Order: sequence, then structure tokens, then C-alpha cells
Amino acid sequence: MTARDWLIGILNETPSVISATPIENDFIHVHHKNNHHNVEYPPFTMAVISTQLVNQEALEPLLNRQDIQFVCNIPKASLWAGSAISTLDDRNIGWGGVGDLTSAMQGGNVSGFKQRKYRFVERGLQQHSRVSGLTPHYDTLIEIERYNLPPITVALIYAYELTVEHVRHAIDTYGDFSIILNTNPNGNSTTAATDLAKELNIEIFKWGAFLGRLNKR
Amino acid sequence: MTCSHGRTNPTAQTKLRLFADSGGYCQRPNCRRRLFSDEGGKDYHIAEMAHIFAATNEGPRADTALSESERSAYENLILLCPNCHTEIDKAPDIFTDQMITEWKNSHVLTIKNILGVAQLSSRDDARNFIKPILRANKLIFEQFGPDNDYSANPEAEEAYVWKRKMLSQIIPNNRKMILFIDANLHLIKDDEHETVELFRQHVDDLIHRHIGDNENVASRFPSEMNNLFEG
Repeated sequence: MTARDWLIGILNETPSVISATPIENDFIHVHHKNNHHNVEYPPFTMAVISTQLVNQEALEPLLNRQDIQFVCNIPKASLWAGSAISTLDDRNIGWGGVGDLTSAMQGGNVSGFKQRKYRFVERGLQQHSRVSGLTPHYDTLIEIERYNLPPITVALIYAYELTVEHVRHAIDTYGDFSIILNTNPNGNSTTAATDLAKELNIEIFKWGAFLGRLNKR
Repeated sequence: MTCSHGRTNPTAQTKLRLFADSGGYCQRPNCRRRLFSDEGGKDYHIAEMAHIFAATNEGPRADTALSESERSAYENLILLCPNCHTEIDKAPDIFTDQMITEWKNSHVLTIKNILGVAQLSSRDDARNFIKPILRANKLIFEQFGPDNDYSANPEAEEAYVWKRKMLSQIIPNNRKMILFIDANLHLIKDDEHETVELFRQHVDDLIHRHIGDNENVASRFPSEMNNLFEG
């Protein structure tokens, strides 16, 4: 069974979905509604992919269609390359995983929807008075330009318990960065993780403290 | 019964209170030796009043700022068996005043809670006791727990609600269940003991995570607990 067909099965079991029908190999035409008010939303076409890294190469075959409004990548643990994010944002195409697709559909219009975890961080940073620009290298690695301060690169880790393994995996994946931001509002770091990060000159923050850190060199 | 590291002159009231609070058992958590005996038809006790801060300026855990009356006060004394008394005074660097005070407080609390915990005679009754508590914790977890959608937002206010309910309801409920289970171990089936011990560790991890230093990863709630005392 393809990832696309698997998702069709999931969507057709979703109460708010009126129909989810396949188009070609990688696309789904979705007709859905608002269950509470029994109002139908405009149908939309979405692309389905299943890859560990969503980059330009993964998107290219899909974007020949001009009517795509959402790209859903099935694997929960995947990376979205900064270039892919830019391409999708420029074309106002929503993007994310299955959970993000569901959230987008609840709002009625999936176009322009961004993966939730990324969106919250992006919005918060854009509103920060010290931040002059953002360059996502991935959805979980962002370079932050700041007024009158040098840029910093932040790895986003979503962890209930941020462990040594999380720190080492981030280094393996991204290479060079100076801050880890644990985006889980319930998350904590183990002492071992904090000690390791300190040895490696990496700071670990939760959101509130991170906003303050942005004001310092 | 006096401490060999200096005289102790606690009042009669202090002695009574010490003995009462001990419940007749050594107040060191992993000892709990019975302090009274009628072995061989002879009624005697082996209790020793040990100082938390030494009776003298040269004794173990000495605090030179304390007056004689403070050294003899209830707050500065703990009731132990002879072995534990000897041990804590031989290694005061290991057996610190904070540790010993925690032993005493924990012992008092244990007795207090045991006296408030019912000992039941049937698994059905035990199930009826524990089921609403499990249900309450489950509801809080489902409504406010970290698996909810709000957790995508790093500044979600729901996280503060979850933390509050963890401290005010989930952890106290868990402590209540542990005390109840320990008072009703006779109703636990053989194949439930492992579940109980996993739950005990889970509660310990939760307390450490939310109240303590949160140094380590915490174990998950063992789902078999939802069926404890069933059947």
C-alpha cells in the first residue's frame, strides 16, 4: 500500500471528511466540512510524500500541478529543508505531517498552513524586537539575525525529557549550532544532557528563557 | 537510652512525643526495627534517642550555635535502634542532619497516613477504592497532559495547568494509592506485584521530576495499574 493510499484510508475514517479520492500517483482530492456547523468547506488537492528529508528534489515532481494546496509528509520524524519551506511558503502551499493536515483542515483552509511546531516558533521570533531576520536551514534549525548582535543558530528539539541522546543526535544531524531550544512546553532536560551540552559549549533553553537570551551576546 | 556523645536532658514530654512519633519502630527508613521486646518473658526496649546536631561541640554534626535546650529539644532528637544510632554517629559526613531530619519527618508521615488508610478484606472493595482515583488521574492526563495538541506551542498556557494539576492532584492521588496498596498487600495477586512495583517507581520518578531535581528520565505509568484488584 502506498503512503498516499494509506492516508486516504485515514481521511475516509475522519468524521469531518466527506470524501478523499486519489488523483494520479501522489495526490488526493479532499472534500471536508465543519462538523459542528455542518458547513462544507471548499474541496482541496493535496500531495502526499513519504521521505526523511523534504527538499527541492522531493518537491519538484509534485509542484508541476498548480492546484496543490497542501503537501503532507507521512513520517513523523522527518526534516523539511529551508529551501523546501521557502518554495512552499512562496506558493502559499500548506505543509506538515498528518497531525498538521488535520489541524489545517479544522481551520477550513489548508493553504498557507505551516507545520504547527515550526509556526509557533517562527511567529514568536518574528515578533521579537531584537530579531531582524530568520533563515531556516531546516524546520528544526534556524539561523536568527539580530539587530546589533551577531546571528545565532538554534536547533529546535521537541522533547518531554531532553536527554544526552537528543543532544548528540542534533549534533550529528545539524553540525554546528550554539543553542538548543526545547519547544515542548512540558519538557525538561536531564542533568546529563545539560552537562554534556555545557561541555560542548551549547546552551539549552525553554521558550521563555530563550526569548531573554536573544537580547544578549 | 542516652546518647554516648553527650548527655541528653529532654523533658518527659519530649520523650513521650519521640516514642509516640516512632510508633515503637526505629525511625531509619530501611531499618524500622521494633524497639520494644518481650523476648524470654522480659519486657524491655532498645530505643536510643540520637541527636541530629550533637549534644556537644565536639560530637557528630555539631552546631556550636545551638544552646543546651535546643540540643535537647524534640526537633533535635530522633529515636533509633542501637545499630542505627551507632552508624549515624560514626559517619556524620554521610548521615547529615538533613538526611536524618527527613527520616524522622517521613516516619511520622508514614504512621499518620497508615492510620488513615483502610485495610480491606476483599478485592472488590479494594477495586472500588482505587478505581475513582485512577479515573481522576486518567481524566486529568487526557484533558491536560503532555500528549495533547497544545504541546506544539512552546508557550502554551495549558502546560502550567498540567503542572499545577500534577502537583495538586495527580501526585497526591498516586501517594494515596501507594499507601493504600501497601496497607492491602494481602489482596494483591502474585502477577500484580510487578505492576505495583513499576507503579511505585513511576510515582517516585514523577515526584522527582516535578518536585525534585529532575535529573533523570522518568518511567511511564504502567497501564496494568488500570486493572489492579480486578477479578
